[in-house]
Parts: sequence; C-alpha cells; structure tokens
Amino acid sequence: MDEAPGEAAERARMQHATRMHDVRTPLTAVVARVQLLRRRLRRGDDPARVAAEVEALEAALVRLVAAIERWDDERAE
Amino acid sequence: MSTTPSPNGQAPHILAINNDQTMLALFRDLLEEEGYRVTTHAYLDHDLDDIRALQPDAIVLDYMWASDDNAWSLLNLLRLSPDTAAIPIVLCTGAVQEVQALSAHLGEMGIRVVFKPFNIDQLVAVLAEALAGARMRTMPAE
Repeated sequence: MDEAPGEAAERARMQHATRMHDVRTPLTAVVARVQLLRRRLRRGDDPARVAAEVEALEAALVRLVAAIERWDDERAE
Repeated sequence: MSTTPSPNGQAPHILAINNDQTMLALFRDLLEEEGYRVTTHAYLDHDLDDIRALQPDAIVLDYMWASDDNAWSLLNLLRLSPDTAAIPIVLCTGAVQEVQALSAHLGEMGIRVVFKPFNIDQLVAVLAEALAGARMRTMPAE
C-alpha cells in the first residue's frame, strides 16, 4: 500500500533527525575531548592523563568517521 | 574548579543518562574533573526506581527527540513522580529546531537545554545554574 504524503514527510523528518543525532553525538564528543585536552595541557597535567585524553579523542574521532560513513552508505542505497 | 557541596556536605551527585557509551565516558571525565560525583546509566538500563533510589542532585539527559520515546517518557515520569519532580534536569540534544520550539514548555517543566555540539564550559555553567536553582527552592524560609 502506498504511503500517504504526510506519513512520508514525517518518516523523512524522523530519519533526518536520527541521522543528525548520530552525527552530532560523536561530533560533540570530539569537540569536548579537544577542550578537555587543552585544559589538561594548559594545567601541565601528568603526561599519563594527557595521553589518556589523546586516546579518548582518537576514539571519538573514529566514531565520528564511522557515523559519517554510515550516513553516506544510507544515502547511496 | 570547585563545586558547591550538596546540603549533605558531599559533592553534588550527577546522573548522566545517554545511549552512547562514548558520551557517558565523556560526562564522567568532565564532571568528575569539575568535582562532581557521577553515576552513568545507559537508556536500556534506566529505571525510575533506580533514579528514585539514587536521588541525584541533577540529571544530564541525552535527548534524540524525533523517535526518542524513551527520553520523553522518562522526562514525564521524572516530573510526575513526587520524589523526582524537583530534581533539576539538563537536556543535551542535537534537535535544535524541535527543542527551541518547545523551549517555553520545557522551561515550565524546569528543564534546561544544551545543544550539541556544546562547549564544555557551557554545559558546566548550565549544570551549576540548575543546581543553584534547586538549592534556592529547597532553602528553608527565614
């Protein structure tokens, strides 16, 4: 059965919101991790704490890239 | 940075609820560094009875909006339940347009909003404001 125009628009709106959430969440983690890293460097924190923050930033970047790739795959389908 | 202690003399206790473990780890690192005690919950684990038992000083809740019935249900349950109704809530969301359209309603519910991607200083400031507001409401009248 064909989808009503209103239903299609609502489904598209929800898909868009879901995609934005999926990208904005890891993007938020990246931005916040950079800010935390900057704080730790400014304070001259223990190198182990700085290294841990760099690792967390790297993990956040990997998740952001994965989210963008998922989005790209969905668009290609 | 030092935080204002709870009425019980301890550092304020923040409950972070999110469906993303990366974000939960971030909230723990950030808020512990700010001097808060932090408990994290994944959405699937959340249960109103757990939150009642924890009695956090504030909740930082991730909100996806469009299809996020979990968060909306939880928000309403928290506000309708007498023993959680006064707990300040900070909503973190990327649904900028949708949430801005509801800002007055959320304000009436005592819910503050931080939009993603947020600046960590902004989140910390909004959280401190929420905690200060809650303390003002619970202070005995002179």
